[in-house]
Amino acid sequence: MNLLKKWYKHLIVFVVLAPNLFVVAFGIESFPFTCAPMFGHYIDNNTNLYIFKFEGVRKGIKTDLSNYYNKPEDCFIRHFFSKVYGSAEAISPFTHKLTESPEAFNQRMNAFFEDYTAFLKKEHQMTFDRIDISVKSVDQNRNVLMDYKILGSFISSNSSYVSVYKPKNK
Amino acid sequence: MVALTNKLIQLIRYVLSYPLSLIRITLPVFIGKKVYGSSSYEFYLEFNSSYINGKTWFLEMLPDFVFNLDYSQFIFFKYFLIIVILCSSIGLLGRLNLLILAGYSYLLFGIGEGYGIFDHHTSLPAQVLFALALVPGSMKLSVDNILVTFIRKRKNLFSYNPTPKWGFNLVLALVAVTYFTAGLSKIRYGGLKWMDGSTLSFYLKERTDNYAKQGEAQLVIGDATMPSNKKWKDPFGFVAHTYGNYQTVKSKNAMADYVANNGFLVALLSIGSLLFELLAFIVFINSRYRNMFLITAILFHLSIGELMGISFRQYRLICLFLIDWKLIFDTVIGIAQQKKLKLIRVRSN
Repeated sequence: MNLLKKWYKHLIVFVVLAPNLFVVAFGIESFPFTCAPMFGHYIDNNTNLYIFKFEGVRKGIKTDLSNYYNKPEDCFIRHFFSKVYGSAEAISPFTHKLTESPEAFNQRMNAFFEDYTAFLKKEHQMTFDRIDISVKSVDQNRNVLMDYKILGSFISSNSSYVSVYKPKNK
Repeated sequence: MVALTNKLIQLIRYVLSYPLSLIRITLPVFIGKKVYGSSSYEFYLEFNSSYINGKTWFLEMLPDFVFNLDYSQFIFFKYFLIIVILCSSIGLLGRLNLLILAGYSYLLFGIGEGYGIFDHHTSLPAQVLFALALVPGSMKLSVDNILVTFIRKRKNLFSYNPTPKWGFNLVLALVAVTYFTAGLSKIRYGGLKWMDGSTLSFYLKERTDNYAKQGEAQLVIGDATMPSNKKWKDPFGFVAHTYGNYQTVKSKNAMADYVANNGFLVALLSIGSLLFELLAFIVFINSRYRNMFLITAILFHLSIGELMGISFRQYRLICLFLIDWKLIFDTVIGIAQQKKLKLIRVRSN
């Protein structure tokens, strides 16, 4: 009985603490386990800050999609950045994946945009030739430092995301 | 009168001997209210179709039917949640209900994380609920314990039975790990320069809600120092999103601005909060250190709540009950008894 109690204790301590120690060691999070990255990234007046924007393009006419996110903009962008686009670092504290690759990135982007275009069609009867993702650089008070630049586009005809950026070493 | 006072002291000491039970009585109500508030069918329904990239480890383990409930089934589980919260709190089939409530929390706040907002208010409390379901000491003050006492025909319901300390230590360890990792993340992502105060200053001055209307509430941080061979998605090297400051009361904003604009003060607060978080494991040295840390934690969250509109109410509740109140109570009673003795001596002289 005592042996059972001892093993029970060890088992419960392991079950409760091990996932926490794992996320702390790797610097990741998956609810309810977190490395608590809140307010951790350094910010000063020289830090590069950006705002994301989604635009639908149909026959050359652009539509700002910020009113069609179906949720508050901060939720939408955080979801997109944390779970879909992902950090430039392979391991990011905003998700639980431990690897990153161009293939995984494309798969996530395509899945996201397929769902999003289906949502726009169903809920708002909107269809586009492509959806552009742009970013602009701002200061801490959202004053523009660099106007919007396109990161890439999701092309509806072949359901794939194409990045504008071509790395030099590729 | 003396007998009644002694009985009362005995009762208070008995109740204070079971802090995990006190957490079990209160935390399910606090966190249950939040879980219930998040239980809208629209919130739930949208998840499965649109958030395949956003599943947490826990959500990935669940069978598909959990995400495919129809409206009537969902409403049934929503009302069932109320029963679960009540039974967890009074301790009727307490362990089972705590497990179910922890499951509800993991599910709904996991969905919330998928939507983009990891609810750090609830991550520790949800884990504490899970731990309470499995450790000794959490059911001492419960209907279950009363029923067991009657069934086993024990004579005194309020006789003190020491419970193994490991349950309490495990919950304390969860708290310590949570604070420690918050400190570690500041060093890991911000470096030692995080202590210069500029990051804290930014968040104190940030007025997230002011930018919501124009769709510019969310900022993303780019790392200008990242080597170009690491940037294959874009030339900007996005590494993190910022967090929000949701305080909208003007007087509190003015207070936050004052702190943010005082370079010395904001650097001092940055160093202080980092040291406080990194020293979390001092709670295991002795009760005095534990009390000191936990009281500081409560004050820490109160000040963040005032300046940034982020309450961490459930954290404060957990910290409050983990304080060694028995030590404080016995110290106060000891001082009162000594004063009483002195008074008797003075009178008799």
